Formats: sequence, C-alpha cells, structure tokens
Amino acid sequence: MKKFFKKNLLSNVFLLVSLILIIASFFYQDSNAWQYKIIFLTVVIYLASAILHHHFDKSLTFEVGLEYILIGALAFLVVFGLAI
Amino acid sequence: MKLSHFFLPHPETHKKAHLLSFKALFVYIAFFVILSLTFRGVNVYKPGVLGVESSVSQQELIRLTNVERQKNGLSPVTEDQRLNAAALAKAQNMFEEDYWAHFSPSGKDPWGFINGAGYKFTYAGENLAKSFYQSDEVVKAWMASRTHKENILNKHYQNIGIAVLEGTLNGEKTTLVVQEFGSPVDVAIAQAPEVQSIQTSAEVTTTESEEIAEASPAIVYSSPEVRAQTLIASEKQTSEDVLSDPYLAVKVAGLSLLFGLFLLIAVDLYIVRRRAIYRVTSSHLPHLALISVSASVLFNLSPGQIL
Repeated sequence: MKKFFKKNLLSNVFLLVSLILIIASFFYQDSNAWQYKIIFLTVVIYLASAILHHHFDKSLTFEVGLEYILIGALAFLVVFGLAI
Repeated sequence: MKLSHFFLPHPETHKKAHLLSFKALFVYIAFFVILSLTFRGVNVYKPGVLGVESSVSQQELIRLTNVERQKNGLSPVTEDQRLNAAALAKAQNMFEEDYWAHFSPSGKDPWGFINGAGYKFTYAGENLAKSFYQSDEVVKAWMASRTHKENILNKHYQNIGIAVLEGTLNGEKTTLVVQEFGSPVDVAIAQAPEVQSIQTSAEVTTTESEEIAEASPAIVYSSPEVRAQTLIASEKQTSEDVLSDPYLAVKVAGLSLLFGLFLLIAVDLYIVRRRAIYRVTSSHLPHLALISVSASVLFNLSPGQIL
C-alpha cells in the first residue's frame, strides 16, 4: 500500500488538488472569473503532474502524452465553449 | 465490429473502448469547436435568434441591493425616478450603439446620463449586468466582485435607479441591467458648483470607470409614456420570438459528454483491474479527477456577465 502511494505520489497529489478545486468551484459559484481560473489551473496541474509521473515511471510515450493533452483540451474547451 | 467494443475494452487485445480512442477524442473536441463557431455565426448572420430568456425584476434588484446594504449596517437606498430614467437611457443607448461598456463608442459616459435625467449628484456610481436568468444571480455576481460590491456598499449613496431592458447586443438577444447609484447635491453644495465638481470626481474614481469626463447632458430623454411603450414592446417581441439559449445547449452537451466519458473511463479502470493486465497507457484516476473538476465548473458557470 505504501509502495502504491509512493509510486503514484503525483497522481494522488493531483486527486487531492482536484478535490480542493471542486470545493472552490462551489464556494466561488457566483464568480465566472473564478470558475475560469479554477479550470485553467486544474488543466495545468493535470498536464504537469501527468508528464512528471510518466517520466519518472519511464512510461512517457507519444500516445500517453497525446491522451493527456486531448482530455485536457476537451475539459478546457467544454468550459470555454460557454464563453460564446 | 461489435457494439460492445464501443463501450468496453477489447476482450483479447485489451485495447480501450472505441469511444475512448484518439479518434473519438478528436471528434468530441471538433464537436465543441463547431458548436461554438456555429453559435457565433448565428449571432452574426441571424442576430436576435440566440439568447437568454431572463426573469430579472427591477423591484427585486432594488430589494436585494438593500438587503445587502442592511446586512452591512448601511441605510437602504431609495428608488429615484430620475435615476431610473438615467439607467433606462443608458440601456437604450447600449443597444443603439451596440456596446458593452461603461463608456459608449461615441464618448457618452455614465455621469452624462445621470445628469441628463435631471439628477445632480455629489456621488454617483454604475453597475452593469447582462444575460442573467434571475435577479438574485445578478446581485450575487456583483457582490462577488470587489469593485461592484464597493458600489453597492457605498455609504454615500442615498438613491438608486435600475433599468432592465431586453434587446439585441452583438447579435445576441439579451437582458441588460443598468444600476445607477447617487446622492443628490444638497442646497448648500448646489450653490457652489466647484465643490460639487471635486466631490463627484473623487467618487467617480471608486467606480469601474477608467476615465473621468465632466458630466454633461448628452442624450435626449423620452417621456415616461414612451419609455413604458418601449418596455412593453420589448416584452412582446421576446414572448413572440422563438429564443434558443446557446448557453444551456453548451452546458447540457458538455455535462452529458463529461458524464459519458467519466463512465467509460471508470468502466475501463474496473475491467483492467479485474483482468489484472498491464497496459502502457495513461492513468485513469487523474482523468476522472479532471473530468469531475470540469463538470463542477461547467455546472457553476453562468452566462451572465457583469461590468
């Protein structure tokens, strides 16, 4: 269990950060500016933690990187699509 | 090709479901880009078709503003018909000149509208909002912004005027809210115009305004009857038109897609763990976390904007 957490440290940090950001999203629900800041910050941390995690894990391939970029872009676009 | 392969990992190769493939992700991204561009195109070529149907009420906005002031130990502001007229003139001008700003492209400023309505002030301020569904959303959004909150909680203001007007702005049907605050010049100050000028300028710097122009009547105001007719005409037009809400469409499509993706990734994670296979791929949990944040942000976003 300890090994699992150590191996997936960055992923677990991101999960914790995500939980905090979801709470922040509801806390600042009256401010669109905060919502945009939250999604931007989440995508940046998501990409950074994913690249570092797979780099240390020696499993960073083009396909793996592309998958993160596409899902990150989608999460970003879905939100910014509302800023029509 | 089996239908189950669209939703579940391949039973032999263990490849991800087709709906989680790169191609599928590109299709989802393309869909949202096209959806957004389509709405922009409709606003340009068919103005007034898309927009938000609002139920914002002027009296409710005044009440909620006073609730916020009283919560902070301030006296309530009273409705002033001249400020109502100034707010309405400002809203009409925004639709006429098609702008979303405190200062019009032709150089009209908020203080000109207030003075033009016959309200001589020592302190004045303006808050703007558009495309909100409900009155309480407008006041909450203003209170969440430092500068707008400062206007609402300004101890100098004694009067308020609000206009809620429907029209087409930048091709999109919207409901504009203009909130004007003011404190009238008293008799002593009125007799000394230079004092009024100094106090006005000092107050103006605490508003959203970037530039301070000398207030002067800049617009011809219609009579109350004409204004009432304008409002009624606007309401009639809205109820007859078939209005499509692009924000709701994007929200529903976005939340549906995120929910579907969440399920597909969760199922993939479950099956991969159950089969105890190793696959060089991205981690599932960060994807699920990101999708959750994205969904909560999308859920909490409002089409309303303040200025």
